[in-house]
Amino acid sequence: MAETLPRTIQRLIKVLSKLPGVGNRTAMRYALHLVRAGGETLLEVASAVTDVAQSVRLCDRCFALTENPGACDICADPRRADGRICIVEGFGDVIALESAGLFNGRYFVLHKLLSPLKGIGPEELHIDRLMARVKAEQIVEVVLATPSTTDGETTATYLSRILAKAGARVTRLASGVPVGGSIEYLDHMTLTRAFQDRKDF
Amino acid sequence: MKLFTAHLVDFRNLSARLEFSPGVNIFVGRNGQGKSNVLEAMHVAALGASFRPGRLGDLVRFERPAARVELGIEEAGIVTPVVVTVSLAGQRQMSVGGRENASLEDVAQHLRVVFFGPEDLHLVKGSPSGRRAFLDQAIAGHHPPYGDRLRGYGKLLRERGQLLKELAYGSPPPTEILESYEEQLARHAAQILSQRVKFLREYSPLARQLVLDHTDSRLELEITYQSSFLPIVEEGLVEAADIYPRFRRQLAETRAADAPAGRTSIGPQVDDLELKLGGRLARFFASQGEQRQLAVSLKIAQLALWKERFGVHPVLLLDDVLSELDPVRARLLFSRVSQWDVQTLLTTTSREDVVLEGDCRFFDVEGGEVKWE
Ligand SMILES: Nc1ncnc2c1ncn2[C@@H]1O[C@H](COP(=O)(O)OP(=O)(O)O)[C@@H](O)[C@H]1O
Ligand SMILES: [Mg+2]
Ligand SMILES: [Zn+2]
Repeated sequence: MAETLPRTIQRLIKVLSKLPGVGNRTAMRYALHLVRAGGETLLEVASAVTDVAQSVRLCDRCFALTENPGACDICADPRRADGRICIVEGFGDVIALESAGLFNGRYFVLHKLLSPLKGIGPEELHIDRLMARVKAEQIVEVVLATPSTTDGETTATYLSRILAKAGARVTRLASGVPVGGSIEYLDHMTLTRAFQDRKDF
Repeated sequence: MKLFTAHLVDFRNLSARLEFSPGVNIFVGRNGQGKSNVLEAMHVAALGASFRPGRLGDLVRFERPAARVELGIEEAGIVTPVVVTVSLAGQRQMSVGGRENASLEDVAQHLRVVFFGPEDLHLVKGSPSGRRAFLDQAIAGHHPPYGDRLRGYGKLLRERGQLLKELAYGSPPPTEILESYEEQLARHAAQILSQRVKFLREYSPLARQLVLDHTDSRLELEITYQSSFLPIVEEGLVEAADIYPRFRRQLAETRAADAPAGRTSIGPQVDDLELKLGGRLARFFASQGEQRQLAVSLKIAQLALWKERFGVHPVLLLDDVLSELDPVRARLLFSRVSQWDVQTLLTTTSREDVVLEGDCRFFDVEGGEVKWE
């Protein structure tokens, strides 16, 4: 449908359509909107994207997104309580938990969940780094906040096994999390209850 | 809950507005006109999937971007709109009472269906998978979390299969990984097994009575859950908490034997329902006619259980089964349906098959258009 458009715009549409919830039609609308808005806006978007690509990286310690060269702001913050790690699937979960103000420890972001079928094992989750932290930091509690999906539950089960072996106390968010639910999209109340009622696991 | 109106747009070959009778709705037409498609639209709206194989996107009329099913569902004088759209890419979106992004459970608050098609007549004689599917839809249909559990279990089985193959043919996965998957698998299996056994406890007496009333031979029906996990059969384990630890241990014991094929040999996925009539296996000893009667009775028993025990009032969808039943059986079916006040949608190629008194409406289906008197 877009063959009549200049090739550069076709390419932009193709890139935009990779975003979640954006189909071909919506991608074309966005692209044409940007083109219509003109030079300033286009360059602003371009430079914002380039900046992110150049300066955002993963934290050395928790794998959250950061612009810092070593540890992220949370890992580097001396006011955060030592000895507690909350394990989440994605960065969106960190944002949800932070904006709810529920947790004053530090995080560990997996970015993926276990799935032998997809070839995702402990290495892809950098579990060795997690275990190194547990040994080095005198951890008193590890909170498992992976989603209550099949993959999330199995990952939590696996983590609890290896963490228990290392002698850490492991807790899991309470069942306020609906089955199949993702932490990121929980409403404030539910998330608060789930976090406060977390149980030994 | 009863279907009040339907507006079907680009759903397969259909474009039609319908107003239903609260009783029996009969869709009449030659083959290939769109009768089954009407039933399929209700099935997709209620359960999120068709009774036919294929992708969701296949439901969209050729050359069109999306299919749309708009239903008005009546309950205690209030009509709730339920809208389901399916895109060519197979994306499904639902709204209930004007609220967007509704879930299947939201829809289930207003619409449940029981579907019976020609395939279901093979329930007795056919493969164990057909009987498992019968059991599973009977449970999930009134208790949606069971369906989620089943899907999760299916995924875990495939994951364990992958791990077993790695174990057999190459790089053995870490023990903790295998154990984690087996723990989850056992938890799911225990829940599913427990729910199946509990369901059958309530279901079997009802089914036995209906079969006694409905079949010519007046034979005693005996339903047994044939489990690959023997403690259920031998010790009568019922509670998930009792099943889990034993199942878990057995999984670990079968690991080596299961590994080469990557297939898990115990669990709900290989179990079966054993049906005996008068002490004999119905699969082998009942006549073709008896097997069909039994299949219909088993479905009616499900309907009865849903209504009486779970307070679920489904719409009955009967696709092409009328012509397969003898007149006595057909009349019995309709008398139950009207006695229980079950709204019914059925398809047939010939009006003569339908012997009915009471509330009903005939629809003519031709080339995707639907008309009624
Ligand atoms: N996606 C589709 N778009 C348009 N027509 C379709 C589509 N899928 C199936 N059909 C048509 O629907 C008809 C079959 O309808 P069906 O309801 O099964 O017939 P019957 O009246 O025999 O039950 C066929 O003519 C088939 O070509
Ligand atoms: Mg048909
Ligand atoms: Zn960090």
